[in-house]
Amino acid sequence: MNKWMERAVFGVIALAFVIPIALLQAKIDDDESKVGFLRWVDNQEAYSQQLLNKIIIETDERDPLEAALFEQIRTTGSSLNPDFGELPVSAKWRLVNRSEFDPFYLRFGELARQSKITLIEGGIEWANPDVSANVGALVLGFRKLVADMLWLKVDEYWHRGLVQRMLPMMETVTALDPHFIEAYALGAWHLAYNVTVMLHTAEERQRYIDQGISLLKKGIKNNPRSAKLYSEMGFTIYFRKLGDWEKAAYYLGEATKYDHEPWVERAYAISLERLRQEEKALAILQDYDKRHPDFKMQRFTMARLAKKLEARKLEREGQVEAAFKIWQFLKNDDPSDFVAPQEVLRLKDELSRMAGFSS
Amino acid sequence: MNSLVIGLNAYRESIRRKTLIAFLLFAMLVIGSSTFLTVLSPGEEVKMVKDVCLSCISFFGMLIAVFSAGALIPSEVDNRTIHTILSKPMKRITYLTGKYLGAQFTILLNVGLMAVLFLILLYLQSRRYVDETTPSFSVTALVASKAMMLVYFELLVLSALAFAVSTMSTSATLPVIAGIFIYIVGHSVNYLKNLSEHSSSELMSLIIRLFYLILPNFSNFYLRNQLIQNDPYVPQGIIKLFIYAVLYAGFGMLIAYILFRKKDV
Repeated sequence: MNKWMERAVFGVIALAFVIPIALLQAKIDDDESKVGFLRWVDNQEAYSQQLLNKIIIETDERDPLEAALFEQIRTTGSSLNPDFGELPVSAKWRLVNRSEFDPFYLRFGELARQSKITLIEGGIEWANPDVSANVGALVLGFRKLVADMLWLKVDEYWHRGLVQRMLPMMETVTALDPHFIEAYALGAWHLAYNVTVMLHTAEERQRYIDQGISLLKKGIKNNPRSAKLYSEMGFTIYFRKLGDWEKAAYYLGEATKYDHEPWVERAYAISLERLRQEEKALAILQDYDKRHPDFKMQRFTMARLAKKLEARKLEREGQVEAAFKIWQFLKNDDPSDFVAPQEVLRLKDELSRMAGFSS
Repeated sequence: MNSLVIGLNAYRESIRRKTLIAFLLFAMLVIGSSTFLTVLSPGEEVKMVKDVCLSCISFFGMLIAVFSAGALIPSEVDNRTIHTILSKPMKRITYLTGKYLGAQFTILLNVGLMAVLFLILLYLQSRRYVDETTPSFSVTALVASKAMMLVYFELLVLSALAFAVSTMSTSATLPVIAGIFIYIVGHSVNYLKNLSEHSSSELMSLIIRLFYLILPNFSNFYLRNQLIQNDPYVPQGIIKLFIYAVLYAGFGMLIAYILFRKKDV
């Protein structure tokens, strides 16, 4: 074999490796982008629900093109599978890989490049090549390790009382590792609780609570299937800190859709109880009781909820006096009951009005 | 068969090398001490152990891969043992395949030992920190094993390229430096993707994109970080990454053969 022939043969063999490598790399990139697309679809799903309920958000702040694209995706997805919104990741992945979704995926890419998409971590490279893109490359694949080390620094700053230094560090940690769930959860807890106790004015306190909420929202955006973040937002922030039962119930309800700890369902039921949705709360706890027969706490709440439902029924039937007695009993039985004292007051007024009429 | 014999011999030679033993011991030390870091990060103990151990396996694995694959042939040239082997009726490709196999045995042994220690630590942590949503140890171990496989795929590519460089070198220094350089480039190659997307000229964009597609891209294997943290958004599987690694290893071997086939040793 002459020299040139030999070179040609080796060239062909090299191409036989290089071409499949290039094609495979393109396919791997495509997969990664499609995972970003999937995360975006899940985020949009949650956003649409929030918009529909008008609990978390009042107005649609998305770009009209982004909203329109999602609507098309939802329509197509629902026509292929009626449970499109509720599908687990693997099933949704198979669906978005179907040819029907190709034009939407291309459009998503176009809009992402024009920064018209509310991007999440999977799409950072498209949106902002100068700042956050390739942070991973800067640390040669050790971004999670760097995030952990910085998180230790956040903890150190907290113990030294350097709150102002904690905040940018938290941002960096979550930029380096957008799936660091505890960073969002603990960060928000620090901001909403530990920092606010040091402050004197309500405005200042509210500012830090809002920062905590923003941090958790960012976390939810990057991890739309993390029950931990939804439950933190629902319980730690809205239930315990702000006493906003409606938002608490919304987030805790979202948390129950994913792999969650058992207390989340109890907290969800209690939020609903405080929203006076006793029937729904009781149904949740009955279901919970069947799955966790070894737990006891829910049975007390269930007994109280049954009494509350009885009181409501009696009131509907016109037996206000009997209903009042039940509420009175519930109020004395559990001083932490949020609804009973209000109901006692309301029925007391009602009874005195009725007594006024009769006299 | 000859390749396997050469491979086993190369493996025996590698595991006796003090540098590799030192790397392994140091890696074991770091992995073992990761459990002390958990004291500083309440609530994040398991994550901390996973991240530190995986990064450590990846980093020391890189050093072990570069040193074991890059030093095999130069050390044989240096000791002149290569003459006795190549003077026998044996094809050079057999010799190269054997050496590369030997390097892979060494890398697998080292990564395996680090992985075992990592799994033991994970087991201990999973017994210490139990909550309702934590997956069982068997699930965690399976996921950790997949993540470790991805680390190995990366090392498979890196060692093939370092091995290719070593075939034209007379000392181990060049392949080691080249291996580390390839590692850095492989992790930074995503810059080219951004560059091609934001390039003003169509032609330039195409050229940069071609380079991006051809150069080894180690960020493909970052999937291990998502896997190990139980991120639900990992639906794509790792088969493609395995094929990618095997193809690149084949390509590395081809370059090694082209450089070595007529080398005057």
